[in-house]
Amino acid sequence: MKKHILFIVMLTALTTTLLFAQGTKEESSNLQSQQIEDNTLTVYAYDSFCGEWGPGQKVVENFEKKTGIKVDLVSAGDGPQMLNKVELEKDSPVADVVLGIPNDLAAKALNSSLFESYSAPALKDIPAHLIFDKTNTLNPFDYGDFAFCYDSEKLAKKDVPTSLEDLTDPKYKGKIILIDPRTSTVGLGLLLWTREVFGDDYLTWWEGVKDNALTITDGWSSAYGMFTEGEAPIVLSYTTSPAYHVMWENTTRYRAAIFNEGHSLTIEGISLVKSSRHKANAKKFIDFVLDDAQADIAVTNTMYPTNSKAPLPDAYKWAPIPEKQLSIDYKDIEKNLDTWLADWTTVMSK
Amino acid sequence: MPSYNVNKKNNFEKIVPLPALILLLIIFLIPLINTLTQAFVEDGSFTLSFIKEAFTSPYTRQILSFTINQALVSTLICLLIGLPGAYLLSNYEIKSKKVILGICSIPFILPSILVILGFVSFYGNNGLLNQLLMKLFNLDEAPLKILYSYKAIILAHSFYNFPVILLLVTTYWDNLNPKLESSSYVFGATRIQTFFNVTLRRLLPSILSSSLLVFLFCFTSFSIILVLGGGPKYTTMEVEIYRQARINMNINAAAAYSLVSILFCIVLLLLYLSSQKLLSSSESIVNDSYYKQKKPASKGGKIAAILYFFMAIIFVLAPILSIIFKSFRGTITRGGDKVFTLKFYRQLFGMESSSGVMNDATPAIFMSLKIATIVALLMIPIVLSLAISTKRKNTFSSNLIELIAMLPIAISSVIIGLGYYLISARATSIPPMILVVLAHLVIALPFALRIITPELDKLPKFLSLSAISLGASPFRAFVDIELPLIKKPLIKAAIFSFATSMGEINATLVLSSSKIETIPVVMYRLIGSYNFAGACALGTILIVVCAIVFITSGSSKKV
Amino acid sequence: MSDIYIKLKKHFSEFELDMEFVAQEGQLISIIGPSGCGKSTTLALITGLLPLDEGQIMIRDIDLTTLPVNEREIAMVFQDYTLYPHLKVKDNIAYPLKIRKVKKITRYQEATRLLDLVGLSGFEERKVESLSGGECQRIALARALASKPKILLLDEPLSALDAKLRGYLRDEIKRIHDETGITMIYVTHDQEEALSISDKIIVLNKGRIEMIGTGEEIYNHPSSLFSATFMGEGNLLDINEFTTLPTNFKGPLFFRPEDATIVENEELPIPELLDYTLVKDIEIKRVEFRGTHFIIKAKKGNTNLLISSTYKPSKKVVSIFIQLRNLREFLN
Repeated sequence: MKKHILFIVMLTALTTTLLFAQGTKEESSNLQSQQIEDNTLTVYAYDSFCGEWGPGQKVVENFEKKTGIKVDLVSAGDGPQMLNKVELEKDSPVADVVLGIPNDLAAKALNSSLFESYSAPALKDIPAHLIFDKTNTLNPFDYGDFAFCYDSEKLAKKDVPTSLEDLTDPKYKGKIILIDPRTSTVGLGLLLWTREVFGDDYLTWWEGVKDNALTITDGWSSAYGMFTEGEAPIVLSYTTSPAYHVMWENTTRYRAAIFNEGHSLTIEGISLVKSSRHKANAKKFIDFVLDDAQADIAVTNTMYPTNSKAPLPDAYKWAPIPEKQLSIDYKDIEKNLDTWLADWTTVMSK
Repeated sequence: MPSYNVNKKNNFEKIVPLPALILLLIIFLIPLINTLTQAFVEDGSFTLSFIKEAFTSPYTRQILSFTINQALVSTLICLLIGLPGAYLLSNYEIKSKKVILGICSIPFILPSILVILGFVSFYGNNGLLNQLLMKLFNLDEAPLKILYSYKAIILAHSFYNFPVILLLVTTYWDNLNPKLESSSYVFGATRIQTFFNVTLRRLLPSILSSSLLVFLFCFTSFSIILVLGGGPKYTTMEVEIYRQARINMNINAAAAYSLVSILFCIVLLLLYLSSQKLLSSSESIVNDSYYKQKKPASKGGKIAAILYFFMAIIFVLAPILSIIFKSFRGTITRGGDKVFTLKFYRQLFGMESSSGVMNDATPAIFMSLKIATIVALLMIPIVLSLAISTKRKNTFSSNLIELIAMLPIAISSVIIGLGYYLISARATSIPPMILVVLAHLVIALPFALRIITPELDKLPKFLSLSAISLGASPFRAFVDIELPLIKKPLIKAAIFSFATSMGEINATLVLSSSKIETIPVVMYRLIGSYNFAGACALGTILIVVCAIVFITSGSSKKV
Repeated sequence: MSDIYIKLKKHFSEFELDMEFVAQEGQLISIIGPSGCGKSTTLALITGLLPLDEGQIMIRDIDLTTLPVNEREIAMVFQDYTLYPHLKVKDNIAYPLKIRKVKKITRYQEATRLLDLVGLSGFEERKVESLSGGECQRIALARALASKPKILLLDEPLSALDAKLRGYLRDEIKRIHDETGITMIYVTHDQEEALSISDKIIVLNKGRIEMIGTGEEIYNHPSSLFSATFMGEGNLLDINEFTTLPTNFKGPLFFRPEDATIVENEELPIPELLDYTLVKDIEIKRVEFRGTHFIIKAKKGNTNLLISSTYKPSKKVVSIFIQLRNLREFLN
């Protein structure tokens, strides 16, 4: 008897799973979006953007005040998770707008055909090099440059590195905190940065820097935490990081080192979901994010606004925008990332 | 031993695990199976290529062997630290037992990022310990380079996990029939001989079960290994799963790697379950007061006990105290030195405005307490129902139920996180709070079950049978006879669940679409926005709440 | 000179144990008393499992008092057997020998010998959980014997067994005692058990010794009412209920059921004889047949009486006569 119950349970498990999968296909007939005219809008954004503590709250509030459209801001995890979720819901669409897919993921996002091109009017105020997706499917709303930040109280002025190459100098032994590209987008940023600067020789740099690294953390949080804890005077982060310390801690102790060879860019895009039934509202929201909300996003997200008209807080003079900004074609990334990561792992685990 | 067959009782045991199984099914098995089946699908058709790659690549073999290696060593060290403590706690009358157990339970609830920061600020090159030594011996360089090495991984894993051994083994040991030891003394055995010949073997089920938990924790460990170990030299399966799922966005490969690690864990779980069934002894509960009486420690024992717990508490408390310490240190004036300040607490309670992302954290604290309390209360009937159904059985189905219930600790959080997307995407009509509570229940279930099962197994069969013979229904017999006898471990299981829920973040974030803010969620937000001190302050509140719960529940148990 | 001298004193919150006795080597001494009288505590004190407040334990001029439990060479069979569930039968028995670093072969040979002794030949490889209660108890006994103790303590070893098995094992213990010649201290609350196997019985009451003696001594010449009623049945009747009594009796008088003879017609055999006394107007409530005799439950006034009779009385109201020397008066 007991076995029967268990059997039933397992059977239910399987059939339910199948049903879930099945459900995806059944509805596919009535897919193309009849537009609904009401005052609602659903926005997916990454976790730290939403919630009471992120910039989302304020942006949404201002948007609702301005347009009268009711926004449901849903935290949908990080970039890959958001893509997965929209993909899962392809046939019974929930999201109208997805905010926060970075340029690294552009290929995935575009290939999925989940999104629709929208040439927002605000694009004219956004510098061309930031518009990473020329099809305007992913519209850039903020960006940052990866950079090595340093503790000016621990590192003498003459020791501040001025290039990636500098960091391989043995005098930095045990003084740099790096981040693993296999587990962190910031870490991945540096890997791509080295590709941009050194091309196929990028691994030589990594071999040189390997011994200087105090540790290679799993994510930005632990790296930066160790940095402010004083474990090492140099950490991989963003050029904007010092601005935070100026804004909220009144200290200019932590600074970003600007390298002449240029910095790798990370740009976050906002996109219109193809199956959306509130496209008019969605477009209004995208416009709003690319224009009115820019200053708020800069302050609370600690990123640069893409819109050149947006005013920057004073503290941002401690977050210098590098003169040279590098990026790799996202198609290139998609093609080679696996190999790069595997090679990187081999070199670094020796 | 004759097997008693009371028909009614069997019916009761058959129905009873259903609610728990349904819970596991909905919140765990379906999402899991759904994600894992991705390992066999490529562009909508069946394929074995991912599985083949995951199972045969030398890279997998290499990380799998390191994963096993570090987990094994960590488990052994945890045993070495935890067992003497369990010995002292269950054999001597130690007045502050509850407090010690309470303190030792704290690491368990701390999110790994906070543990890492605590470790760094205590053992790090610039940490308290090194600063102290440098001052004492006038050194220019940090003398103790513990972190960023293999040693640090083991150290951190021990910190995290030896309390699991201490708690589980102490619970079990406390209830072993001490007359067996008495009789051994009477036959001329010394304490040491008795320990190795009589006690240790009977403790094996609990040692095995707690070691297995620790092993599985270390097996799926991730942040600690990378950050404190010093980078990709030390890579676990979990990192590979993470990379495939999040960086490469190759869910198929992630699922395939998960399958490798799950299969490995299932083998372990099966080995463990069968060994436990074999070893479970039917010792009776003893009420003879003077056999049960614990000896006031001899002078040597006393010194050993004090020394041990002093070291253990320093070991556990130092990183925790570092977190607390940091929460009170900050700059008040521009560019000023760090001084004692309450500003982070004032900010947390909304009494002082601060950085743009700092809001009043009181609602999050209440939300955490609310969820954890509900989880703890619901856990009692759920774990009981499972424990009853698997109790002292060695049938295929009871083993399978136990295996499924234990599985959540063996599954990569990335994989189950992906699975939860399914739920959160489909079940939008269910209030997120309910989903979060259910997920916490599933996550805490293995621990709760491990606390209860050995206790229930030890109850003599005839106790409830005699009640049934006196006319009680099997349910009634259970409530009247067995339930009161396992009250203590039951409370312990509830507390464990409470703590697990207080510290849980992944499922909370995913399932509530960030609509529910708990203490750890807010802590991660703070860290993500550079506010480490604020996170430490909130972490301190988490620590204090849990310490209070551990200690008060500990002392109320005496009644 | 006595071989064994034991003096124990231990204070508890509820009661105090204070006793002193001597014994000869090779004797089987029973400690008997109601539950809570301190029987098991006595054993725990002798083994050293419980520390003494005061006292001395001497065996042949060797003072064991300060020795730790494991060096006293006093073995014990516990009430609930305390067999080690993780060991096979032979390993359980061989355990004390293993402790003494006896070679494995010798250990198992001894285990086999002891299994023969306790009548469980061939049980070597059995698992503890497959044993019945009686088998467990005999294994426990064998294990205790394996340690070749100076004294073997048995703590109500048969209390968990059924009556028939109890009787059988009781004889077994006696046989093993006689065969091995080992000194045994046997705790029981069963008077029949004590009477049937003991060389000497200690009656314990509330932590104190009421009486020490052989079975007959205690049965026939109890020194206290407690000893008298605990060891065997008895009646206690107020002095006024007796017809003729010598003047030296003051308090209530005790007599055994078998010492009273029922008379139905008040035809006293030799009523004038001075060493008899009579109790009249006894109302019979119940007659139970016991094979060799009848047990009669009766009432005199408000006092219940128990009388043993070789024949079944035909009347409802009878008299009894008792020899004066069988009447016992306990002052306090």
